[in-house]
Amino acid sequence: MKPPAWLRLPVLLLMTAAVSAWAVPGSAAVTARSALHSARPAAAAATSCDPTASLRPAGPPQVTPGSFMAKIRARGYLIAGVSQSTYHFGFLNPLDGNTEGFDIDMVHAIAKAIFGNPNKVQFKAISDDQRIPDVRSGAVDIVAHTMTINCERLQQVDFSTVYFEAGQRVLVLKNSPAKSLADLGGKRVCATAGSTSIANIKAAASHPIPVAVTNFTDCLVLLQQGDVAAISTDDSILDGLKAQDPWTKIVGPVFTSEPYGLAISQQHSDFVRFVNAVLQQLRTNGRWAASYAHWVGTPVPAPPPAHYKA
Amino acid sequence: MGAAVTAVGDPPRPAPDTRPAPGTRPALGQFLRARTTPAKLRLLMVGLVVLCLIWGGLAAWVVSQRASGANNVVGTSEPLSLDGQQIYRALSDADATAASAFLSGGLEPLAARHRYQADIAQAAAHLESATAAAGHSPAARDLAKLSAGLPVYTGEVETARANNRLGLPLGAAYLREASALMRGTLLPAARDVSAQADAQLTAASGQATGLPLALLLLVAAGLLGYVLYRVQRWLFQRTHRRLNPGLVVASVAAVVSLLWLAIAFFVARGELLEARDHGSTPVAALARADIAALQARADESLTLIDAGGDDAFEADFKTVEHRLGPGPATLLTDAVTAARGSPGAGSASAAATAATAWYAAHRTVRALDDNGKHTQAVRLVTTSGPGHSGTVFTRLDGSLTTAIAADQVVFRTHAVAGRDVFTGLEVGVIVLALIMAAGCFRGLSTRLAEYR
Repeated sequence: MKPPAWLRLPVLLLMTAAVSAWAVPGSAAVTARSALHSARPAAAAATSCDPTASLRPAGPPQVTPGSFMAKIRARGYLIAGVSQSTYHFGFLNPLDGNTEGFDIDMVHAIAKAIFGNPNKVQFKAISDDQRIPDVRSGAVDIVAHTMTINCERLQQVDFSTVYFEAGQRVLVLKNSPAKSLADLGGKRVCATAGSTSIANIKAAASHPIPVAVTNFTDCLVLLQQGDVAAISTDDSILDGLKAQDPWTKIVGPVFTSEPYGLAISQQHSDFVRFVNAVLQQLRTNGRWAASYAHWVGTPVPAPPPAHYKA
Repeated sequence: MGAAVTAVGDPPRPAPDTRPAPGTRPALGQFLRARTTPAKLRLLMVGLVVLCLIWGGLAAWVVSQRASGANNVVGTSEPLSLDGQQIYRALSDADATAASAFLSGGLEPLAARHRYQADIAQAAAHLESATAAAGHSPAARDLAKLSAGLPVYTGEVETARANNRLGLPLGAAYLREASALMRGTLLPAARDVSAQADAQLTAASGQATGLPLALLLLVAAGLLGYVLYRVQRWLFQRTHRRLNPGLVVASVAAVVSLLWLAIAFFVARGELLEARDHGSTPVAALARADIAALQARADESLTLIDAGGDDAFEADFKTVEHRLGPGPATLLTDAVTAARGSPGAGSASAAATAATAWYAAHRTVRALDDNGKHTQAVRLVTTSGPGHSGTVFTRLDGSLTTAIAADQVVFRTHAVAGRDVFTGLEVGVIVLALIMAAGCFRGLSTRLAEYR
């Protein structure tokens, strides 16, 4: 039910006014980000779209009757597909057996918005190449798994607004002379199967040999055992690997832009809006910054601003 | 034996019947008739001595074949087969224990740590003795692979522990790597060793119990007895003497050696077949079931550890469950059938019951884990309590281990008894053959002297 043309502008203005109470202002930043993302190579270029534009929330998060959120509430817990091996983003802490990390904080915030209790979550450990199938089949309500938003994936699932910005780099042993993928031609470079990283390694001009494994920790095992020369993936993940082995270093420039979004089924647009509303609260109430400081470190940058579809 | 009895018991004849049924023995008869008596006696003497010596050699050879088969069963094949099973079992148990210890999170339970260490120590010990026993057999290459891989495996498990203690998720990756090495390389090699050792055991047992050689020997004995009988009968007819002491001694020695051989072969065969049917066969079947159960147990733990979220381990559990049974043509049912009538039968049946209970407990674990109750699922697997998966599995594993140990004793007892039957037999038949040859020589040379 589209409003007539003469109503559109006032409605838009009204919505903007409502949103502005809790949204971060700064359309200039939004434009800058879109410019960066539209410059992304490979798959994104093939299916042209505005990847980071998500659905606009209808106000603060609210569980409306009949909505998908109401169904989740009736079930009693949120089902989230997460990584259990990505240090600092989603990992099973061996010391207490809890799933923890930056991605996990996002999930807890969504559970709190639905139930009033951040712990009403069932974490389902999934591999990278299981993320899209699990969202589409309804095996999970949401995926919080260092997942890059791109146009190719948007054809299969919906994404929330960007909640973290990463970019691909290279991790090598401290004594390695390699400075970037350009120095790794013919060498074995590791990433997970089904990740954008492995696609970027395959596409690199220097022709490294891509080695695909299940988890990024498996890549670190291979690196420590000398089976691969480097690991190349998002700097956020590489930071977590470096933290587990002080004899590694991250080298070279950031050569891709990886905006992370929470993946949700295309059938639950009400849930996408709800999650975007939750993310918006996190951006403004300092919780995003607190999570960032705890898991990624300081200095804490400004949270990635929300960018909505027109 | 017929020869001696006939020679001793033949009623004395007043006059020689010079034409005793000529048509029945043309070759020997014509040959003997063609020569003078001393010439015939000399020829007979040489012939009999040579025959006795040939018989002694043949008997000794057959006995040594059987004895070496039995010795091989007790001394080499059975220990190697046992080593193979123990290596396989210890490694499977180490894999399952390392996985479930890891799963308990935080500090691993001390009992699990000790069990893992005992497994590795046991595997290493059996690896060493198996390598010594295997020599240059086909199992040697697999044993070398195991010797090379075991330190790599333990190294990865220790790296996993170290990282885990630091709270790093890298630990789980090392454990998966270790488990992949175990399942992809070490366990298949152990399985090959076990299979080759079992084949060797079957061959050795066949050599010790096979019928053809024994029958050949019995036929040879029968021929020898017949010849002795004919010679004595001929001498009796020719010389009118009731008994020739030398030939009587030779006949008695022939009877003794024949009886000894027959009894030894019969008893040893009985013992070795008993050792196989109620010993090594059920032990092998039970060991196969136990190893499959341990693999499924490791799957159960690895599914809960697996942070990658793929369900390969649970799929493997289902495959193994299908193979393990109980049910028609499954490992457990085969083991129960094989163990029927052996001391391990009771424990084998208990294991089959425990397996069914364990599958039910496992489904409870999966239901909990699939519904987000990971911690409760882990608790059921790692702690003991009524109906806990860990407890029920211990019952299954324990029953199988008890059954294996019981039937192992049966095997050992009967195989050793079967081997010991051959003690002294080889020397015995040689000595008896020499006595026979001496008896023939003495008996005929006395007659020969009468012509001088």
